[in-house]
Amino acid sequence: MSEAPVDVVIIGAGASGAALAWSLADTKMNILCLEQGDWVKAEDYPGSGDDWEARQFTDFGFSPNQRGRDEDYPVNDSESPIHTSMFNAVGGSTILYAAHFPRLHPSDFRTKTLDGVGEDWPIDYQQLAPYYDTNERMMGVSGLAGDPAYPAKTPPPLPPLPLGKLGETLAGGFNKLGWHWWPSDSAIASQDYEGRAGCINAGTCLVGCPHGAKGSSDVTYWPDAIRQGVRIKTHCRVREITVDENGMADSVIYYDADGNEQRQRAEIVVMACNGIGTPRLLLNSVSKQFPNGLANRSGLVGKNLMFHPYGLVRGIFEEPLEGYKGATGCCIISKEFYETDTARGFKRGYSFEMLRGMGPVFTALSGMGSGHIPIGAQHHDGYAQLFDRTAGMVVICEDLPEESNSITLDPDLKDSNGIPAPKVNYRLSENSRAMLDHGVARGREVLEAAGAIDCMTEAPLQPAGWHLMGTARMGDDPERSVVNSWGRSHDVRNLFIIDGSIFVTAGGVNPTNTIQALTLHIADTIKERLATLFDD
Amino acid sequence: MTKDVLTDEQRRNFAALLNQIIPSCPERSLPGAGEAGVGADIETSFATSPELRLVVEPGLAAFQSLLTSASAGRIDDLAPEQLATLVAELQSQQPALLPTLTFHAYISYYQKPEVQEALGIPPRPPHPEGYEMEPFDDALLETVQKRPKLYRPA
Ligand SMILES: Cc1cc2nc3c(=O)[nH]c(=O)nc-3n(C[C@H](O)[C@H](O)[C@H](O)COP(=O)(O)OP(=O)(O)OC[C@H]3O[C@@H](n4cnc5c(N)ncnc54)[C@H](O)[C@@H]3O)c2cc1C
Ligand code: SF4
Repeated sequence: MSEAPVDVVIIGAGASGAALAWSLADTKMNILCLEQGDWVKAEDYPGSGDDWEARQFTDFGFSPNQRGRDEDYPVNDSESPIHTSMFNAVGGSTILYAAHFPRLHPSDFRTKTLDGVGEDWPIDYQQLAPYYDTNERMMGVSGLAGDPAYPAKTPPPLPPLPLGKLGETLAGGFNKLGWHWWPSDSAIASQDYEGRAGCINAGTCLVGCPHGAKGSSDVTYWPDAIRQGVRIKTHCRVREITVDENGMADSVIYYDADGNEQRQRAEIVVMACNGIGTPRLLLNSVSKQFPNGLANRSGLVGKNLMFHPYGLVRGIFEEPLEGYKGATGCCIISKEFYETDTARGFKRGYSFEMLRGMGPVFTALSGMGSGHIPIGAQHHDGYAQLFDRTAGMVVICEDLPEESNSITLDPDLKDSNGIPAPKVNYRLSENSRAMLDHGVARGREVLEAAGAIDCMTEAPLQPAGWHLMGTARMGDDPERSVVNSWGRSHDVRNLFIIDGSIFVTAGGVNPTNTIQALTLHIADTIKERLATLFDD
Repeated sequence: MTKDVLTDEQRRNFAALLNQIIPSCPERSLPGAGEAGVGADIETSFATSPELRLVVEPGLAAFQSLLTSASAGRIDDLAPEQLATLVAELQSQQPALLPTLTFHAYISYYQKPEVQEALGIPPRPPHPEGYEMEPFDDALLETVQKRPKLYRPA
């Protein structure tokens, strides 16, 4: 069946899809978003139930393989030390994200020039700065101006989240060593903001926020975009994008909620399926003009996959830290080791981000894994040693682009509509390994300075494949990139890519603020060039 | 499988086994896992988790036959040391049982309000009440604020 043509079809209603829909809404074009998931209602979230921690192992798990909901497609990550985490719904992975919301640094856009690694981006920090400002206002960012790790920037719209006893203890460790730290920029409203309730420090952010304080894109951009006339169709899974005889995208083929095949014609097709979903769909869109996948004349679709390899360092303290209070991931960030210092034995660098303590169930399971909490007579002593006495951090390492790290189509695995599933082919580089080791060792130093009596570490952290970048990168050279500096495919002039796929390098911070700032930049460029959008 | 899969006797034995995993601790006002009703939660999970049932059902059958040979099936007749020896034997016969039960027992036990109360935290889910926290205090940042810029211009 064929639906009436639209001006713009956006595939994916996550972080980037929402920002684009909002920005283009004022053009009054006919805009439709197709999303394979559904809206998540406040009462669907686990945070108000006794089993809120347990549901992280079932229907609110990080991995689509673990959740296995109808809207999830499987990912073969059996050959990667880092496993994929994402969520499929209106809001996309921001439904689960911790909402850490840092910007990239100016140097992140120039790694080739500065350090001889990666590639330079076709845009720079200054060009993105106004879009970061808009995005931080729209997402409702809490934070503090004046961080010496950044050039002067517009202050965040809301004051920082509280540190609590745990955060203050860790800040003490950094202060003792004289190392940089700063209260995190968080897309969590520290006070009531634009119709959203202020954070109540409940700490269930990683299974979603029933309170609406966390800026997932379903509660930030989408309501405004919909008010302005953008439509979302949920439970619609796109299988492929078709092209006409001139090699222009002319429609998308999708399965609707009843599993029926539908065709949606559109003047402009925008891909916002994330760093795994987008290359999967492009590789599955094969035609006479594009036998190796749509927009893939460079051969780079799916290549240069970057995660941020994570290290986890947790300290055990003698005093209770009230670590169950407060937004899970958002407390303190440190950029002490962010910029390159070759004396450290690797290029580029990493951030530290502090974690809250664990809830009662996670304390038990973590202690089971680490051997601190045995079964039997010693059980309660072991538990008392850990419960509310752990605090720690993650080390977020910059991954460099390598063509061998890639997304391909799995020859056997398929989703519930029979569409081939993606396969992750990834190995940790020597540079990333050296960086992780350095970060974990420095993390221990901070925790010891803060008073930890023992430390537990894990690196790389297996489930931490939540930052998905690089698989359809931007650039000026069509031989070396998939899209240009404003997200338009080099090969298909009415096809745009706006999600994390277009990152050139990864930086060492969480990517969503940059993904959305890039999206707003792309949307503005589309609006400026509407009359000549498809010209060479 | 419904909640009525296990007989009363099996339930009693299951509870005793769970009490070996998490025993009671009267000084901390903490019940054992069996007393806290973890067995019923796990039995209920059989319905949604066939893999769990595949491990637990034969494990409990093996436990039953070990009990029969040790005390004609009557768990109450066993001294604590005898029960511990039996559990060790069970572990060597059914290596997947205890890790699986421990995982599920930890999840069920530590989400019980009476256990959380004994741990000293509010015995309720985090939402909708949340928790009080003091606002951010700038004084902690004094040394960092004096640092020169850390970023590389580009
Ligand atoms: C547990 C966790 C914690 C995180 N923490 C942070 C953090 O603290 N800070 C941060 O910056 N980032 C964090 N992230 C990452 C962040 O969520 C992502 O960077 C961001 O959501 C990516 O935006 P996107 O638009 O590229 O993709 P997504 O938000 O993932 O959206 C993609 C959407 O496309 C849809 N889709 C995919 N394929 C199809 C198809 N074929 N048809 C129809 N629809 C389709 C999906 O259902 C999904 O809704 C975290 C992620 C997770 C999972
Ligand atoms: S801590 Fe704040 S943001 Fe996180 S879930 Fe609770 S209210 Fe929402």
